[in-house]
Amino acid sequence: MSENNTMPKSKLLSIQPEKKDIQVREWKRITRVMFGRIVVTGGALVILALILVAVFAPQISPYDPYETNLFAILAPPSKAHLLGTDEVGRDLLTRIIYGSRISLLVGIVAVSIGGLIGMGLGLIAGYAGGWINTIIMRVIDALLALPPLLLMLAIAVMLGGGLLNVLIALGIGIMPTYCRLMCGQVLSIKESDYITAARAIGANGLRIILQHLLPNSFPPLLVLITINLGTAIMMEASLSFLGIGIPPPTATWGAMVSSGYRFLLTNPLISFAPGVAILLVVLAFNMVGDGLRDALDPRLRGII
Amino acid sequence: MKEINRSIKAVQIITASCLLFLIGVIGHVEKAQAQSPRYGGILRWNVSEPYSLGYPATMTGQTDGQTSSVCLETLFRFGLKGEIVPLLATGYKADAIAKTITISLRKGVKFHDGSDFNAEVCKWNLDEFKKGKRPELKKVTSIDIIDDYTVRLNLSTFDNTIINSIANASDAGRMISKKAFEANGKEWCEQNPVGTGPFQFVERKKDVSIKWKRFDGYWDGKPYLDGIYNVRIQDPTVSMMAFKSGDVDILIPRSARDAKALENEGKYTTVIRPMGQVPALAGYANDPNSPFAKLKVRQALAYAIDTNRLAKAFGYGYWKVHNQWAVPGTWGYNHDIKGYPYNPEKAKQLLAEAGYPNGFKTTLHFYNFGQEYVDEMTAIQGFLKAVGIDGTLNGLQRPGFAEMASLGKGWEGVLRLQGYSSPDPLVKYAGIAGRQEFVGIYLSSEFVSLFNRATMAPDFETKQRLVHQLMKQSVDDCMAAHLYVKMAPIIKTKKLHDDLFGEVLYSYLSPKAWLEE
Amino acid sequence: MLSFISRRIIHTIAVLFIVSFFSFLLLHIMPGDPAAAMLGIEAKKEEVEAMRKELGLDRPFLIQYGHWFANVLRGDLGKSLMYREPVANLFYARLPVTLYLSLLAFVISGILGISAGIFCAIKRGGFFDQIISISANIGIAIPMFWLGIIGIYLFGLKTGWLPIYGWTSPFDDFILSSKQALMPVLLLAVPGISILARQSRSSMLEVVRQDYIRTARSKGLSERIVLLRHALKNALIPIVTLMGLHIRIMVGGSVLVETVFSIPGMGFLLVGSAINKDFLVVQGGVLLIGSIVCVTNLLVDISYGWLDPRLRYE
Repeated sequence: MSENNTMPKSKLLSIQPEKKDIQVREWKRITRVMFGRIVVTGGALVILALILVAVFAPQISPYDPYETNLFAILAPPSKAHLLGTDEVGRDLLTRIIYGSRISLLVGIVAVSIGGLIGMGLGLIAGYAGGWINTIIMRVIDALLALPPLLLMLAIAVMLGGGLLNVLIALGIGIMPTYCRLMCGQVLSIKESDYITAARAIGANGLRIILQHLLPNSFPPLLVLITINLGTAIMMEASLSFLGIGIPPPTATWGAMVSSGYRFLLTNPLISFAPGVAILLVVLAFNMVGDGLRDALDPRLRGII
Repeated sequence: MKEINRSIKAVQIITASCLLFLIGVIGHVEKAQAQSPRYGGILRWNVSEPYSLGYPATMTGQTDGQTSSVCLETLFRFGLKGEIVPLLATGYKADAIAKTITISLRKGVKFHDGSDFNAEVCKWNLDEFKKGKRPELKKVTSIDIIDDYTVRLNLSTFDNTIINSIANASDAGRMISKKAFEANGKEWCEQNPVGTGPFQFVERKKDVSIKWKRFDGYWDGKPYLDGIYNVRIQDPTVSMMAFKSGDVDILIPRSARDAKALENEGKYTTVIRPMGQVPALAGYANDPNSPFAKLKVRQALAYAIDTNRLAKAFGYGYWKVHNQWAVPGTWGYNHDIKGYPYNPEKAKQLLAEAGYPNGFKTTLHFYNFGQEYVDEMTAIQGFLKAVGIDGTLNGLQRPGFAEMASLGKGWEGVLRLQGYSSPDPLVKYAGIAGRQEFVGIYLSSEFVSLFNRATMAPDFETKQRLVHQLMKQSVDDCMAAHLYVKMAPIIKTKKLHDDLFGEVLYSYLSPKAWLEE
Repeated sequence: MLSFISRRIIHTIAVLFIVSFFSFLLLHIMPGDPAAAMLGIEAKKEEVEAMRKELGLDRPFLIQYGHWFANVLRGDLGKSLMYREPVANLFYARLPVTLYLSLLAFVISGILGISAGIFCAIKRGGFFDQIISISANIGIAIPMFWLGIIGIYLFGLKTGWLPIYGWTSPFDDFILSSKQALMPVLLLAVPGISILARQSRSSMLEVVRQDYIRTARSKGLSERIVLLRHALKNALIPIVTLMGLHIRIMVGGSVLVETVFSIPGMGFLLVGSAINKDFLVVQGGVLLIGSIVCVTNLLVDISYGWLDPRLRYE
């Protein structure tokens, strides 16, 4: 466990005089530890590819993802259609490329919603303490008592489906971990000596907490966000698979697996290919998250 | 002489081959006849989850009626040609002037609980159905018992479609035991059907199965089958696999594609059900601001869709394109109607004339039964977009569809009408003409008055003539863009005989059905 | 210990209370009139009114909640619109199926996951360690429904080894039941195995570095005894805390697995009800599953406090 011996220096950062020098060394160490593992580098490349594909989808797609072609229904893979066509003659490869847009969008927006609400609540709970803390944390406990997929399914259905409602549901499902993380961070800073000292000389506690919060919680947050991007993509795919997600004809990987399932015997590729895409992307986010954790703060192993 | 000889020879050859052919045919016939019905066996097939099984007034949709039809019998049923055949009744007499329908009932029929079927029970059943505020018997003001086995329906206005409703296993006319109802109440009856049919209810495991066993006291002789086992397999691929592996004997394939694949295997009996779903797209015309309030826009919608191509792509030869409410091959079909065959240029032109040269945005609402429906609507969306009608798909589930279809909420844009065709188009139409269903579809006063005249027609010829006029009126008004009749095949094991399943309307299973070992 | 247990119980009750409030709230975040949305195709205006009354939608919010909660305590979760049956009855028939599958998957993932993790820790850096670590990562990232479909394709459609759908009670036909349950249970266990393998590996590695292990080794105890007696016992403690989380994963996974294999359990019911807008079933399901997880967490907490006395005074 060599990586465990190099303790994070984030706390030291603010005190040490030769900041720049240390920052450069720290940065070098982080990149070395992180990209030292092949899987992490591979994951990072997959994520990079995902972003590029999503951004340049119209440029690289051979066809229009929504253009149906009733003359070429369920065509097998060929030169014209590398992965074949689906049940209404749309090019499968194009649909998978466009599906990356939804996945990326869902990941980013859901994590933003969940992260902002969760961090806000965690901040309030940690700072206010007392009964406010108790109430917020019990609410979080209650949310954590429900399987995330079930919680998201219930919320999405009650709100009436559709992209926006799915995003809200995913955000709420992701929120609790951020709340807990933030609350814990605030509490640990609150008890530290310099806050007590600052308070003693009459400084604003909240300001100091906020000042110290960011550098301290940045590493775990980054790790959590990375892993949650994968989780959100997976959850969206699961909801779409169950038929409760984003309505057709939008190209989403989960819905593609679900609708291609009917052709398992004759055209297994229709459901297999989007599944591979989900697996690769989620795996990539998890790997990069792991790598980040090892590089930034190995103590987080087992907590996140 | 030579020529005569030659012709004699030819005659000989022809005679000989005819004889050979005849022997072959007779042999074949004999072989077929050699198989005589045998007792025993459980017939299994896949059903959707029914809601109510045994209380007609709360039974809705096809599933409830079809699933329970082995147990609950109707007064009449439909024959192979769509004609009305007596079942629990023995006949009826309709009197258009006196506004009555007199039905004579079968004698010696017993319910599964041992109680008798008679005029009193029949009246009670129809009254109970009326209490459920169902539209089918709305025009029946009262029911008189003439004698033990005769009832008379008194009508507010004469309606020649009522008898059809009574014969339809999904509508009125199913007879349940009054004794069982009085002993156990409505909720019990919903889950425990007690009828007169060849099979009696054993148990139901929700989401899993329904079991029925032979009713030895059946009025038409002891049924051959020991029982019926309905399983519920939701997934179409899985249900197809279950059929192929012999886990079920009858398959109602969800898609025409699956049906074709099985038919091509040649190992099974394939029958085409006499009626199919008749989807049509209706623009909301009740709001003057809606583009579909304009005839030209409604016509453009109809011209824009290549129904032939759709039927070819998704129907695998089973779907028949049509252009009116009535189904080709039935008496109501008006052959003179040209309709709106695919013509995207014409559609664009009509849109421009109506004031939408650049098209418009709208929503395409449809009842999402499954992926096949999404596929179809996605393709339709493509056709509409090509002429400038840019629609967003909105797949609805039961409650959402109900709001638009029967709760009168209306819809923004286009709604896909759903439902099965009926041998009598007036039955299919009643909800729309009576402003009970799909309120918001374009409805002209000419149409309504023609409809009412047709339902009151005292004889068939008058009715047919009026129905043909009605069809023309509806196409002239372009109430909806008709797509096709989705004739649905049913695939059965070759071991099943004399069952009529799928051959007559509404999944009627003949009590004479039997299974080979 | 008693005060620890009572504190945990009070905590659980508070959480349960909030879970119930969430479930109640679900019906009210619905846009539009829940009563109208809940009724079927044949609904009429009077029926909608009657439904509003039945649901108590005409009364103030908190009174509605109190009324609903009182009903819940009596076991009355309302009536399903689709099945026309009390929601509680529906659950009564389906919960055992889900519990049976989840419990089997729970045991399997516990045994396989922990032993794989410990094996990896002992043979750290070796070939199997790498293979298992990679598989565990894939196991976490793989879409469960997709894996199920691949399973159906390979073991059901292509080879015909296993049935691809359905459920039979083990008391009715044990062999058929086991055949039908094999794929779903293994599938349900996949995320659990993966998470436990990773967790127990790092937990074991953590323990091996501790002083007491070094002491044990220096005493000349055999490596086997050191690992099994001293290291394993301590490494297991943090893994036990994961069990609460684990239950959540199992029940959540059953939603997908039951849908893929058409198994009539809670997950299958809830997905079907969600799609058909049978809201009371969804509401009741959220409440029931939330409560089950809460109670299991309580049990895990108590047993953990019993194992590790330090925790009781936190």
